[in-house]
This record gives sequence, C-alpha cells and structure tokens, in this order.
Amino acid sequence: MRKGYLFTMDAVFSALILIISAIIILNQLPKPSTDYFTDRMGADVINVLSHTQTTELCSISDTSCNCYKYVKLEAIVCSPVVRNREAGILDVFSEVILTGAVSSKEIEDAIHEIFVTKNVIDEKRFGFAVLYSTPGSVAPLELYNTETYTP
Amino acid sequence: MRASKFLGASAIMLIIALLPHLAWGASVDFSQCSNENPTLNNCKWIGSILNAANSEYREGMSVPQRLILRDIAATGGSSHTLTFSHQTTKGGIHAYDYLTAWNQGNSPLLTLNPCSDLPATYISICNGLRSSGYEYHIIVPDDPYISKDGSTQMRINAYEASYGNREIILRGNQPILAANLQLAHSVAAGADAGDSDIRYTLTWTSQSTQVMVEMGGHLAISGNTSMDWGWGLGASQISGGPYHFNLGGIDSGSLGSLDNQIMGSSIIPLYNNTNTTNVTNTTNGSGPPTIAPNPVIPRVCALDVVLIIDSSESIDTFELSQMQQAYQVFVKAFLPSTNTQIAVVDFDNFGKVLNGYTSDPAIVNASIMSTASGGFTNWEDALEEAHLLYDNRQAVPDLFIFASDGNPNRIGNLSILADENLSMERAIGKANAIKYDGIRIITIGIGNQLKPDNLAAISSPDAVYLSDFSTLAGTLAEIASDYCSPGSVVVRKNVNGTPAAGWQFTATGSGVTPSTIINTTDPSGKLFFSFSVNAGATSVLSITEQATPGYNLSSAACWSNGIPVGSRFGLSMQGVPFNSTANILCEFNNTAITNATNTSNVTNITNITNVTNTTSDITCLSPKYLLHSGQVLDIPFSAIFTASDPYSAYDFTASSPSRVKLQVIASSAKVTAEENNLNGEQTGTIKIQSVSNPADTKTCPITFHRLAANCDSISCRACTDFACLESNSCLDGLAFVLDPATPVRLGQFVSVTPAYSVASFNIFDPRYTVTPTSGPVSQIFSIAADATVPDGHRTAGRFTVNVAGYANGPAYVCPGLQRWHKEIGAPVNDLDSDLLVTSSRPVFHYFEKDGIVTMVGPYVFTAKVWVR
Repeated sequence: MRKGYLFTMDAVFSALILIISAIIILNQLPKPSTDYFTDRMGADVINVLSHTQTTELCSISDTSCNCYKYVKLEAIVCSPVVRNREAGILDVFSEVILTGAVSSKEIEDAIHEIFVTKNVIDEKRFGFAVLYSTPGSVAPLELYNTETYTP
Repeated sequence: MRASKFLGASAIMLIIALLPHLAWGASVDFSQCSNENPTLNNCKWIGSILNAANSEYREGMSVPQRLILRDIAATGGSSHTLTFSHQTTKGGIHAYDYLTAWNQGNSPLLTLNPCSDLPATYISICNGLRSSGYEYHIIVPDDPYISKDGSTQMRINAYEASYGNREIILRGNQPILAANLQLAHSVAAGADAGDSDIRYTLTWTSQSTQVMVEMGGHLAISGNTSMDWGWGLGASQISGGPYHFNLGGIDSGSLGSLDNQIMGSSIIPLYNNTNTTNVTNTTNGSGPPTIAPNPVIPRVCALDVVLIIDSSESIDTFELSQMQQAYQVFVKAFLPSTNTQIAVVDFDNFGKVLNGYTSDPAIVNASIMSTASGGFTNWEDALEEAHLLYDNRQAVPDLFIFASDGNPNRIGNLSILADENLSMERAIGKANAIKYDGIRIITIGIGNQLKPDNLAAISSPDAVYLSDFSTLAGTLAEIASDYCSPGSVVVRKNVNGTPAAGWQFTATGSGVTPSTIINTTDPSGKLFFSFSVNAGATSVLSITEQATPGYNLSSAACWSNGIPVGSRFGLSMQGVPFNSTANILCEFNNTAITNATNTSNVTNITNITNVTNTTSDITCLSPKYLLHSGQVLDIPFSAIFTASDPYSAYDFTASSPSRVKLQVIASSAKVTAEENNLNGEQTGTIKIQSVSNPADTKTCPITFHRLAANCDSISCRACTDFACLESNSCLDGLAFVLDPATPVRLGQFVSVTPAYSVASFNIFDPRYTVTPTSGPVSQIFSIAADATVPDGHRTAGRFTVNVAGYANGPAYVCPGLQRWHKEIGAPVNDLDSDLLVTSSRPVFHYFEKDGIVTMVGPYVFTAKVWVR
C-alpha cells in the first residue's frame, strides 16, 4: 500500500514537473508580436489612405462625379466646395479639414466605409483609429475611432 | 562495350550542352570593376565576385560592367540581339535598381582602366574598339514598373535630375547604324517581394564582328529621399548570398550564362537611419541643387540662434583659440541681456550638437570652448544637426550662423568621402530645407581657402561675410549689432534688390544727441545711426535718403523690434519713435531707371517748344499710352492734336515759319510717371498757345497708364528664356506649380485698373502647360507641369496684356514659376522620441482663393490598430 502510494505520488509529481517544465519552455518560445502585427496594419491603413487616388474609387469628370460603391466618400469628394478632388484621399481629407467644407462626422463615415464596411479590417477582431495633427497641434485630433464611432 | 556506350552517351550530352556555344562561335569577356583591389577607386576588372575584400562601393554608385564580344557571326541584315539581366530585388530588398553609364554618379569618379585585366587578344580588341570611333550612345529607357515600394521611374527621375540622362555605350569595329535597348521585369507590378530581375534586350545593326558594351548597375539606396527605396531596402542591406548581373545570349545563342556577382557586405549605406528624418525632410526629396531664397527676419533682440562652428583639422590650435574668443564676443552681445537663446553645433567629419537652445551664456561658452580641431568638413551633416533643433520657440525668428574655413568634402551622417560638387549638392539640399522653414542662414568664410559662392549657395549673396581668424570677432559683432543693438538705427539700402554702397542718409530727431547725423552705406549696403536719449524719454526720428538722379525710391519702411513704425513721405521715413531700448531697422529699396529720365516726360515727348500760329482749328485726340518700364515714349505731336486746314500742313518744327507754343500743364507732379512711382492711370494736359496771340490756346489731355509690373516691356521682349529673365531680376511675383494644376490669374501678380484682357499666357519651358492660354480679366489659368519636371525647378511665364483703349500696347507681366512637386512622403519621425512612426504620413495641401495659391501643412495623419 505504502509502495503504491509512493509510486502514485512519484508519478503525480513527475507529471506536474513535466507540465510546469513544458509551460516554462513554451513560454520561452518566440511568439508573434502583437505590437509588430498591429503596427504593420496601421501602416497598411495609412498607406491605403495616402496612396489611393480618388479617381481609383470614383469617376470624376467636368460634368459628373460618382463614387458608386463609396457613398460616404462621394459625399466628400463630389462636394462642390472641394477644389482638388482628383487627388489622394488624404489630400482631400486635409483640404476639407482645412476649409471646414464638411463635418467631422462625414469624414468619420468615409473612413468607416473604406475600412469597415468594405471588410478591409474586421472590426470584431481589431480596433483602429486615424489621427490627424497640424504643425501647431498640441495633441492630434481623432478623425475616427472604432470605440467611439456610431453609424 | 558498356563503358564505351556510357562514354559515348556522355560525349553526346556534352556536345548537346555545348552546342549553342559552339554553333555561334562568339567569344566573350564579361567582367566588372573591383574598386579596392588594392587601391580604392582604381578599377581592377574581374569576372568573379565583388566582396568586401576587393571592393568598397556605397549605395547610389554605379558598378561598371564591361562586356567584350568577338567573332560575332554575320546575320541577315547585320542585325544582332544581345540579352542580359540583373537582379533588381533579392528577398524583396532592392539590388541593382536600374542601368546607368558605367561611371555615372560616382564621386569621386573611378579610375576605369578600361582595357586592363584582359587576355592579350582581348586587350588589342578592346583598344581597337575604343579607338575605332564606331560608338553608339544608347539611352536607357524609362522604367514604368511599380515596385511594392513605389515607382521606379520616380526614382530614376530624381537620379537623372542630379546626374543627367542614363546612357550605355556600344562600340564596334564597323559602323553601328542603329541600336536600341528594351527592358522588362520578371515579375508583375508590386510582386517584387522576393527575387526579381530586369531583363534587357539590346539590338543593333552593324557588320561589326567585335563589340564592346560599357554600362553600370546602380546600387539601390536605403533612405527616404526621392532617389531612395526606404529604410532597410537598399543594396547594402542584402545579406547572405550575392546578387547578379547576368549575361544571356547573342542572336538566340548562349554565351555561357556568365554572371558578375556582388555581395551586399561590400556595399556601405549612404545614410544611417538614426536621425536623418523629420517631417520636413521626408517630403523635400533630393532634386537638383536649386538654391532656395534666404528668408529675411526682423531686426529684434529675441532670436533663436544656432552657431554652426567648423572645427576641422585645417584650423590650427591658435586659430581655434581666436575663433572661440570671437564667438564669445557674439554670445556676450545677446546673453544674458536679451531674450535670445543660443544653441551650438560643431562639425568636422560629422555635425554634433554641443548644446541645445539655452539662455545661459555659461553653457554656450563652455560648448564653444569644447571645440577641438580635427577631421574633414561635412557641411551637410552640420546643417542637418542644426535643423533638427528647429523649432525652439515658434514666435521667435530663427537665425543660423554658419562659419567654415574650407569647402565641404564629406557627405551624409556616415561622413562619406565626396568631391566638392556632390558635397555642395547635399549641403544646398539641407540648406534649402532650413530656409523653407523660415530660418535665415548667415555664412562666414574664414580665411581664403573656400569659395564665397559655396557660402552664398547655402545662404544668399547678401548673407555672406568674409573674414579671417583675427577679424572674426569684429565680423560676429557686426552681425550681432545688425540684429540687436538697442538705441540704434540700422538702415539697409538695396538697389534693384542688391545691397548698395555709397548712399547718403540723414537722420534727425528732437531730444536726441546729436540732433542730426549724416552717414553713408557701407559695401554691404548698411549704415548705423547711434543716438543718445535720456532713459525713459521717447523721441521721434526722421530718416531721409539723399535724392539720386536715375533712381526711384520704390519702397521704404522701418521696424522697431520687428514692429512697423513711421510712415513714408517722399524720400523720408518720418515719425519713427526712438528711445534708449529702440532697435530700429529701416529699409530703403530703389530701382535704377534705365533710359527713364525722359520716359513720359511730356515736355520732351514732342521736343517742340517754339511754334507759331493760332490754334483755333485744333482739336484734341486725347490719346492714351501705356508707360512701360524702362521704355522711352516717343509720341508724335500729331497724335495729341488734330489740326484742320490750313494748320494740318504744319510740321511744327522749330524752323517752321508758322509756330505755336507748347506748354505742359501737369495735373499733378506725378505725371512724370515711373520716376515718381506712378502706377495706374494718370492724366496730364498739354496746352498749345499762339505766340502772336497768347490768349489763343487749346488744351488737350493725354493719359498714361502704368501697370504695377516690374517687367512689362523691354525686359520681357528681350527675353526668350528664363535665364535671361532671372538675370534681369524683373519677375513679377512667383507662383508655385503644384499637382495636378495651379490656378492663377493676372491679378495675383499686378493690379490693372482699366479694362484689360490677357491676349496670351505662355510659359517658355515646354514641359509646362497652361489652360487656357488667353481670356478676359477674370480668367483663371491652370498651370501644370509634366512628371519629368523635378521638384524645385524654376522657370517663367509671360502674360501679354491688352489694356483697352491704349495706343502702345500690349503690356507684359512675367511671373516666375517654381515646380513644387510634393509626394505623400515617407513615414515621419515622432517629434519627441525621434522613433520612426511607420503608420504616419505627412500631407501638404494647397488651395486657391481669388487666384492666389496657398500652400499649407504638413498635416500628419497617423493610423493605430489594436487587437480587441
């Protein structure tokens, strides 16, 4: 009985030691960096905004302006007060922010449309924000934030 | 038997393998320049690998490739095709990004020894080809490929803007009738994340049996200027195995798959990604070394100053001591008595910040005394380090004082050896970025070992002081008093925009001692008035320029500690308040009048003073004339008066037997127009009077109009290109040509009161386009530049203006134009941590309102993503 007990204890301790060792070893293995991953996604978001020309999403001519599947973006790009509509999306955003031509809600909607509605970013898995600052800014302005956005 | 079968089969295989080579018979030598084997920058041609043991290339250099072919078989039509390729990415990192001439952009140039290190037979072939005179310069075609890291052509454009078009040379032993080069990438756009090649097809028509191809492979650059691919993406960053320059075949036959290889470890980066980027730099690009204007800052005692001090080895210990003492004199002029803050940057091989902005003179003086002689001269990095200190206090003007005793010979923050031209290109680029931030740069040349033009290129001609070590203290004291000398007045005199010496000014005031001072401007166009005034008392000064024939006073203004004071009256600035703390700057700008003494002087227009007869049958034509800058009007008498019979036959010359008397009746003293700074419309009258009967008179009006244009007639007509316009310094304003097009209208440059139309708006450089090219008064013109025009490029346009009802039109307005091509730049650095924020982009924005284009920004957009 005593021998059996000792054997059982031995086995249990051995198993525990093995499990703990395994946990320690697994913890020491390199893991994908969440920070790195999200940084890359942040860069992707800003790359999309900076390198996408409005003409890639919208049809713009002297007589018409239509963004087809980007209704919110169309509200900004095709606004008659926008002077430089054939440009990058960030260019257009910077113009309308500067001139106050549209409300911040409209810009928020356009960002939501480009990234969330079109499933570029899965909002259930990732949160994201787009910030904006001027040379004189004390703190950046939040153009969009998944946590505060309301459709 | 079995062995012999095996042997036979092997032989057949060998023959098959060698068949293409044997069939065509061409032989080849394909080698490349090892540039430190053993002498740096002296080529030893090898067919093996370039590595750190035999070469030291840096990113941005061209690696010379030499190909010699002999025994080329004849073909129908003597047409030949050679294929070759080079790796353009390896593991997604850029290797050779494009072809160049074989020594293009190398600084210093490599000593090529073009026919050395060859077998004897090839040496004679090579020498023969190079002396045959049969050579064909083949333009390397544009490359529209879009890499995952951006446009290749954009980088080529930046390269060619600095180093010219890219050409490779094909030589033959018979005339070469035609040649052409085409290229194709091995992967689709954006799919160069792994290994990829550019494949070239070189075709030529010639009966040559021997040819030589001279070309270079450009080593891709890590960095964030417009020539670069981004940090970590240049040729030096390729680790592990080598990358290749491969030879394909000729006329569908193989040349044996020769390749020239290079190891990333033999290449040093051009830039170090530690502190070279900030928001401003990321968007400036490289571009040609156009010299930016040097901002003018107010004369105030509150400045943010950076002293940029040369401590290279050419400065000996004694000279260094003199220099240190001189700088302390400058510091004492400002600290601690004023609100100025001073930072110190020392440079030799590198720039180094010795102290940031401080108002503590002990800290500044300690930094100055810590400078030690040694090293080379790197202006670029000195300016870069100073620029990184910007912007200490946004409301305070910024002044950089740069002193050096030698021309630059190092570039980058790795202190890479470079010749003076390349070093200056880099320094000018940095200086331009500084100036664009509104910072004025003053340069001091110490001794006679450097070129004042180099100093002017990083500042401006009016901001260059030449000194030596023994007089440096005086020079620095003069600069200090230029900006801050309470109880004094500085007068700056410019003629046609250039500082002018020998102009006399008189300053008078009540309650000051002395009450009147007369002084003359020095060679730098400046003079000082120093008055005593009781503490707390305020006087009023009047500063008057002595009238000088042949010159207009086009503008005059005064400022006290940067705030406008006083008002202009004729040749004087009057009502300038003055007390013991006043720090007054007055600026008088004159324009030389070319042949203008008689311009629109009505008395001289007709040059007739004594004509006799009555005037009862004379009527007025009331003519209108444009007063063109620098042009003498020659208006015939008959254009002002119409005389009916019998007077119509009169010639109104002094010898005429029938004479009338002419008299000018000016409606104001300004009828003499240009010399009186007349703009807009002005009417004078001319009276014709009988000599025999003085009561018999006729008075007729004559109207003049002058546009507010500097450059409306002779200057414009004489110029057919921008260089001439620029040297005339007569441009009517400057417009930035932006993407996609810049809207401008004439009213942006000059005001025209009467009705007018723009008959045409032309730009001399055909790479710029204007839409439309004519229009009414309200017309907005759109100016665009094609993609080949580099950022910073300057040119000029010309409005041809018809003013309604004026006899001697048209008038001309010639605005300067500068291309401002701002791409959305590379990621920016966090201002606090200086860490690269890859998820940020700066955006410059411009907008047009009432014909005026305004550039604003940068606005920085940043994206953050997190896992829920």
